[in-house]
Amino acid sequence: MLNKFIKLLILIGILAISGCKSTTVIDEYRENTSTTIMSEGESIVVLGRRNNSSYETEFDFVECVGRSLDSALNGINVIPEQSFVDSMYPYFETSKAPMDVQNLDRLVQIPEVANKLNDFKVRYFVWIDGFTETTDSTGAISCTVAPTGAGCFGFATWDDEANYEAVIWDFKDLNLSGKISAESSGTSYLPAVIVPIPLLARVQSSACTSMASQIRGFIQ
Amino acid sequence: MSEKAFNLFFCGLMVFVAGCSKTLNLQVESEVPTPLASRLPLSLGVYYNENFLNYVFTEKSEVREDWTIDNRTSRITMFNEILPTMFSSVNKIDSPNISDGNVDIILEPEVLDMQVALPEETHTDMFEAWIKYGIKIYNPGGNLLTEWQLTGYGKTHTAMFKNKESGLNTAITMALRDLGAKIILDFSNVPEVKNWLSTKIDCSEHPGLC
Repeated sequence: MLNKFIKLLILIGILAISGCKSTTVIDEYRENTSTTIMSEGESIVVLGRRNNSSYETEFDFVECVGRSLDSALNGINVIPEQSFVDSMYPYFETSKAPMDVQNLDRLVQIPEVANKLNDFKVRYFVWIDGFTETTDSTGAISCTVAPTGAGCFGFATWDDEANYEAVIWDFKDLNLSGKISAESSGTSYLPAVIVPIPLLARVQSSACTSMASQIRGFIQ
Repeated sequence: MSEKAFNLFFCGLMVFVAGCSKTLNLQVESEVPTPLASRLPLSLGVYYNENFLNYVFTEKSEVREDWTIDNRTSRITMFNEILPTMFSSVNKIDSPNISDGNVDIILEPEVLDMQVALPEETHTDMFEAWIKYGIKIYNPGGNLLTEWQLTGYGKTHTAMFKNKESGLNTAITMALRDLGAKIILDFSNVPEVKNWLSTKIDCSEHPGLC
């Protein structure tokens, strides 16, 4: 019995090491080759695009990219999405937000908007569009609760894919600075012998850190 | 059965029953941020009619046996928040048929329709809400300029520990924000209002409005 249990633990360990890996591919496009360096005191705002009816860019992904940038950029302020959208209400609501730099140009003709953006010292807008989805899943786990105890048994596995694109606008020059795309995929496992042990591929997290790292390289 | 096991079983049963419940009684709690808008140099009279003050979404069907969604407080708060940022003064009036010289234009909003959708109904991972408003716009004296119809839409992701009350509350909040944004930014683009505005304000000072 003990021997079997050790074998199972080894199997889970191998799965944890060999599986659960996520692969991330980053692609970058720069509109011009000149370096786009931010000055100290300037701000960057990371926003999610949510006007597609079939999916919604997750708030926590946008927050993750913003947080990763904030911790890595010294002297540069990263404005939290909700705080920015609330302060700029109603101009950055989903149905009213500028879809391209030309629309942003028109928006800054409104004095209240221009003043508020100047207060924020915004230099870059980063618009993130995309989502994470489970593309395939197999296996099954059954759990039982009885007066004598509870337990689960089975094995499940699923594949996750994250696809995101960040479009960067330079507010100072009112032009498109570039685009960064991040594609990440991985397989998670959930073996259960009495207690389910999740071995998760951190697909979204991997896409977040890779994208934040690339944006950092883009603006610093 | 030990007391601990019974409690665990009872809790599990309650979660199961709550999750499958076909009834809903939601009191929407939402706020709209203070808008960043330029005021029209006009005095507004706003008439909240019985429909606007008392509309409550109700549904009794096979899948929604007893649903009630009450967002009366939220929508009145939303209008009270946005209108003072759109006009130089706002007065609540008791009838749209007034000939008060202190009022340049009168609005009478009403709720025309409201729909909500749960993830299990649409086979998506979204809670969604649509709210359709009709806003009657009058001259002082009660002459109808136009009836402007607009729809607010809101959606939010499902999440672990987000029940249908919480999901719908967020979706309705987003729909109210969307409505507020459309009222603020599209009001002066309604053709009849745009024409009327050109007779009331100095177009050289407000070139975007005429």
